[in-house]
Amino acid sequence: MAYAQALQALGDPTRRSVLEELRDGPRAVGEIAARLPVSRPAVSQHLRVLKEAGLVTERQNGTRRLYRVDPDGLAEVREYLEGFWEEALANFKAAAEQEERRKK
Amino acid sequence: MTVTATETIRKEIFVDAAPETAFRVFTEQTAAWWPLHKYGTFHEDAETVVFEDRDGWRLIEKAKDGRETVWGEVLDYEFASRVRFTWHPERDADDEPTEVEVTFTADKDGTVVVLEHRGWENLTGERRESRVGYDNGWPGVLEVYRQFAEG
Repeated sequence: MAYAQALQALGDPTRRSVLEELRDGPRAVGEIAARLPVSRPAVSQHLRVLKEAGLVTERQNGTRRLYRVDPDGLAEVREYLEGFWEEALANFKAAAEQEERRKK
Repeated sequence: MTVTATETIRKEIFVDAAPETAFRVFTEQTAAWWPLHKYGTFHEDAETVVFEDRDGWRLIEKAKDGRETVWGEVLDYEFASRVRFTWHPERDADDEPTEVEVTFTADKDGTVVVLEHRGWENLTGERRESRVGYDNGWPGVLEVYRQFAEG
């Protein structure tokens, strides 16, 4: 499941910070590293994981390699949120119906 | 970013129980059905999740060692009819919470329960650096999703 990989990638707070730096648009590794207390190689490593998880894409722009958020990856995360409520409500339904039977 | 990212998440389910029962089980027996170990912030250390009155009703997750974290505050409710609460696991209460509203409507011999999770578009302001950094789990995901929903 792609979203499972996305979740795992997002489990690291520093990696989330890296992703959040892409919120306003494409960035190069150096730009991200300059804004975070993280070394450039570490930022590169985080970006690699995010890319493998489908959350980030990269593209060469002249001499610069730019990273941006991949909307498809976030769609996976949304599916995860939807799935969470579905599972919670299915459990809730079972509990409520059990309680109703107990009362009768 | 796609427009759908900020759309309200809406889930509807029919429950074969009276609205009073459904409402009570949702608000008073929350731990009985919440998939806590999978979707809590304390993971295997989680003990329970409850709505508790502390200067207003709050949804609180508790760990076995006594730690607590507030997931949201009840904004308003009407017994057997509806409850609306803010939703901000891992964040401060005033830090751009999303909102969950659950309605209970009698239908035939049971209840139609509709859950809406909204507020994804409320993406103004700076993130708080003080938020607690749980090292994994879905609250972090929720946060990132919200950060990007508007794109």
